Amino acid sequence: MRWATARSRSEAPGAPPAGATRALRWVLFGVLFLTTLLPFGVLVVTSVARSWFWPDLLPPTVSGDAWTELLRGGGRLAPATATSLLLGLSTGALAVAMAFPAGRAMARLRGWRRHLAAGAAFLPVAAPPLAVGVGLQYSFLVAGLGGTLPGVLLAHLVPAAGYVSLFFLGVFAVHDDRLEVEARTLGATPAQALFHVTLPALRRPLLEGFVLGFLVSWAQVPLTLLVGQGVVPALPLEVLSYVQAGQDARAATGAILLVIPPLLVMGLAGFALRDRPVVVA
Amino acid sequence: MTGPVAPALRVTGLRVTFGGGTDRDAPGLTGVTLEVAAGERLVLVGASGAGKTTLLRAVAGLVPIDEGSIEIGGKDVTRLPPERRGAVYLHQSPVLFPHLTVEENVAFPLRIRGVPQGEARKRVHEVLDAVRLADLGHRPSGALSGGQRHRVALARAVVARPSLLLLDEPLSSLDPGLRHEIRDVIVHLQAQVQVQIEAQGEDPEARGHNRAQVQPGLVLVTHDLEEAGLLGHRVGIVMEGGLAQLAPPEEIFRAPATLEVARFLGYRNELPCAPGSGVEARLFGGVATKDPGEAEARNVARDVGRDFRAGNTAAGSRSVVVLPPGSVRVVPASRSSTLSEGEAGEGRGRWVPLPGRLRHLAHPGPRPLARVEVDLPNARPVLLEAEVEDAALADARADASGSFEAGSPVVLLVDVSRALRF
Repeated sequence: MRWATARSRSEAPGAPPAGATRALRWVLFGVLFLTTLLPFGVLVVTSVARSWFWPDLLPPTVSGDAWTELLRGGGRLAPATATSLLLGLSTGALAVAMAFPAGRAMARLRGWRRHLAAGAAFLPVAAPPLAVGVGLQYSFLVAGLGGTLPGVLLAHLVPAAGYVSLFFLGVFAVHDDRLEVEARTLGATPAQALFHVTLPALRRPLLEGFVLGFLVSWAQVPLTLLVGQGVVPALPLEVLSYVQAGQDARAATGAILLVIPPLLVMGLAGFALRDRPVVVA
Repeated sequence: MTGPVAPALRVTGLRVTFGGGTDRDAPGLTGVTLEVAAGERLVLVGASGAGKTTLLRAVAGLVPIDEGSIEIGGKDVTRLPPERRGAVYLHQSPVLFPHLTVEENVAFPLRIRGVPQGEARKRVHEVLDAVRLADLGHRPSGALSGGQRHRVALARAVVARPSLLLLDEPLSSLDPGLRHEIRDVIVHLQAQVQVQIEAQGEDPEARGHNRAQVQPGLVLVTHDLEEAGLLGHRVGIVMEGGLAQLAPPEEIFRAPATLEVARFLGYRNELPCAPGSGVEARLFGGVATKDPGEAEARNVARDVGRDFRAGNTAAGSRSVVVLPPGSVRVVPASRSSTLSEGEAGEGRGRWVPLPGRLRHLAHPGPRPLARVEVDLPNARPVLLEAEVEDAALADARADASGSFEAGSPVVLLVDVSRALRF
């Protein structure tokens, strides 16, 4: 029956022929490969290459020094990775903690009030990170937070909380707040309604918001550089410094490290939510 | 138990304004006073925006009130939050917690009250049995049909044995078959559940120790009059933010308190009676007619705290006679002169003939509906409606001189003993 359905669909008036559809699919796969997987493959090769120059198609000799150094905890990549992970996970968690009530409050506003609140949340997102960083740098120096991990964390929270607040504004705009009303009349206190109904029902967007906050922090260069003043060793900064120094193998190893944790976090979040309904209510 | 039990709900002088009580806010409810006894079903009907849902939400504690008091199960809950009122409010469409299974949903009120697991499981199974969903306990709530969702929501509402159930249009989104089923479930569940309500006694100290096992009270909102008549022990007509009438359904339909209530009930046959027009003399001829005033009006004034009828009668000398459904029959003009008193009135009432001309014959149901233009003395002609009975149709077919063609002369027979004068 499925065959019949597919056949009748492909034979429907105006539908492209099955062969053309198949060809287009392969072209799209090819484009995806060239733009995503091939550069990643080049990174992997670069991370083990030694003296690899143009026009050589492949490196003449290979070495696992960069990886060995990383796995042994030597060099600067390992501590930078740990710092970035700590920053990313903390930023994700704190951004959700801040943005969840903010998004909920914004969704309850109507008319110009909601526009104003959403605009305020959007401001740190819309402003160039460099401009935000320069502004924060001075304030944080005065507050004694310049060049400290908490300072960088707070700086990361500025755009992350903005992004995640806007995300939760969207979530709560379609969230059915009758869930809480129903819970209250069934005997739940506001806290019980929040912890037994709202948060579990919104587990998916909560995890998605966390991943969003993590990603904003993980790839943050200008704010880390300006507020951390080069003292806080975040992974993107180390990769940049290796690139500037021409240490391609270490730079490539760091770049691969930059890719892996976000994929892992997204994969784990997807796994944790595999049976969760997509609906937010 | 030493005395009569407290009512499941007592609302006194309730006033609610939409939007929190600023000067610009429109009044939502004014001076609402009512009681619902334990085990009683009160159905609130009214037009959209009349304030039915606001009243329900105010009782549930979901809307702030400006004045008045609310007692549930003998306890003053006016200033208590929703979770401490002992009333469960159910939305129009069932709201189940999407992250919980059917069993977990039903167990929710028990879980947050800290009921021991064994006891909770027993009560959940009992109530799921009562709504015939015992087999679906482990199913995710998102995998249920519309009717099953309604039954789960109702089971969850009663499992914690609240003193009062507040159902906001629970049947409006259902198809007719399902509506019948859920109506039965509501009645069945209310009858099954036993709640503890304070007994009222002379000694206020002893009152707290005397609790009676009774069924919960139920307040249901609908805009469907048939549903109200089928479900309600009493029906409250909500109009313009107040209770226009509160009475058993048979009384509501027999003697609507005001012209507005009569119109809301769908009583469309109105005869305007200007002073000196002779319409009343023609209809009633000095016979004492049924007047819904006096007893019913007093009842309304007492129960509702608002005398709608006084406002109506004070409006002026012009009155309106309303002819309820069934009090008007239509016969071909040729047949009317031969009808005996017994035939016309089936042995009861006093039937007065009003000659007219058939304007239109519609078919809104099993019986045709005749719209007849009636000439009144010293007044404009009015259009009255009457169902055409099978016998009248047969007469029209049998008698060549009489018919139900548009424009043909007919006679409306009015049972003036059932006419209502406002």
